[in-house]
Amino acid sequence: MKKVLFLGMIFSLALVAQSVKAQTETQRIDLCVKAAGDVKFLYDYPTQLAAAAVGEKAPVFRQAIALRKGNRYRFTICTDEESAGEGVLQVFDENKPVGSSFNPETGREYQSFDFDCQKTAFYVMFISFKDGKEGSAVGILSHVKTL
Amino acid sequence: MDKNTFIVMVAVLAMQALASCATCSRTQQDDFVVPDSVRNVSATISESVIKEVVDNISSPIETAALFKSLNVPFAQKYLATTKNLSDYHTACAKAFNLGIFGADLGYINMYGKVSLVSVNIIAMKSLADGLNIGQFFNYTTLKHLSDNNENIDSLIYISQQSFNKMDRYLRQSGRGNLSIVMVTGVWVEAMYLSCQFYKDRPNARLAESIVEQKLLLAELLNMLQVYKGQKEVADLIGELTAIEATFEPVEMLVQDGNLEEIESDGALRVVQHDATIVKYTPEQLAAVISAIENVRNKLIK
Repeated sequence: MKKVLFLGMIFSLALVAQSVKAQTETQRIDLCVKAAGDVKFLYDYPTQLAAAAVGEKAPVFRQAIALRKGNRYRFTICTDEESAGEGVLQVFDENKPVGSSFNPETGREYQSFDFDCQKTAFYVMFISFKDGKEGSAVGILSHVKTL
Repeated sequence: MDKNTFIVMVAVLAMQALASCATCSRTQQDDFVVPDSVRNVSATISESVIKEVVDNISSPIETAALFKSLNVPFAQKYLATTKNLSDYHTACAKAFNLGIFGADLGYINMYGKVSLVSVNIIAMKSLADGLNIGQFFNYTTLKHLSDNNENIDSLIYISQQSFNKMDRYLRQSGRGNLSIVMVTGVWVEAMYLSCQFYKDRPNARLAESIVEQKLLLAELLNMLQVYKGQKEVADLIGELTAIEATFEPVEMLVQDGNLEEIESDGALRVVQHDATIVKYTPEQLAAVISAIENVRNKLIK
């Protein structure tokens, strides 16, 4: 009987831990939505990636997104405080990069960047971490205005 | 190993499994060839990426924002009635109409017509409960925000997030068919509203936004095809194919252009200079509008 109670307690603790973790994720998303500014929220992308294994490509999160002509969209990335790697959000139109939160040539980082879309199409968003480090971040897609 | 040690090990493993499952389904890792500008490496994006579930195929936010930018007045008469709720017996009917009401909610929110939110979210909650995804629909907060006439942006945020969570859960719990059907409902209703407003106030911009949906409809149909073995999905494909046929003569041409990066006060804006040229006749547009109306009015009954 004691063992059953003990196991029950352990499972209860696990459920509480899960709840706290989920709550934390919600809070991180809320903060990133606020960081996006005065925009209309569309999607959130909480992302957690492991470090790249030696000799392997860095893991990425990817998501295909439909964007419509005549709209300004904002992409925002918020790296978690405890994350080892800095989150980078990139958007591609087929194989052509159309925006990134990090410019490797200048070293400039942007928490958000806007994209004035003039072609209704399927774009692909990637979230990765610099130097293939382990990391966690939240990406946000939002709508700024009709152009 | 004694019994107690074994029990502790099982408990620890269970805790780890539970904790990891809090995020495992929202994390994608793979060995896809990454176009990683961080390392300044370009790569090709596979066709298969586009064949995955595409987010934002049907977004009522952009549609309603376009209406507002064109000074289209709010029209309650075009919203779907909630009186037929009890007639939606099957999971597919529930999912489709949850999408219909989701699009209406986006439209209502964007116009700040909070007094209409309650009726809509009661209907959505009922359908979501019927699909066992009611726990992801944040009814209490939405009700509170609408009753107190609070911040519209918060209302949009919670509405959109509730919808996204329901959609993701359907996909994660092996009910991707219902997810796509729900997204189809959003698309149909957003198109229906666009068509009604175009008929009320013909406008070239609105017309173009309607015919440009040819591309998105094709992708919706692609995603539905995965589940064509299910009779209700096959029926829905049949309805959408009728709409697709009216789009067939519409021509869409893209002229590639440069990207312009504008940095101002530390903020970056990328301007795309591609141009999309859409060719269609008034008769072709009328056929699209008519097909949308037929399908929407048939499926909400």
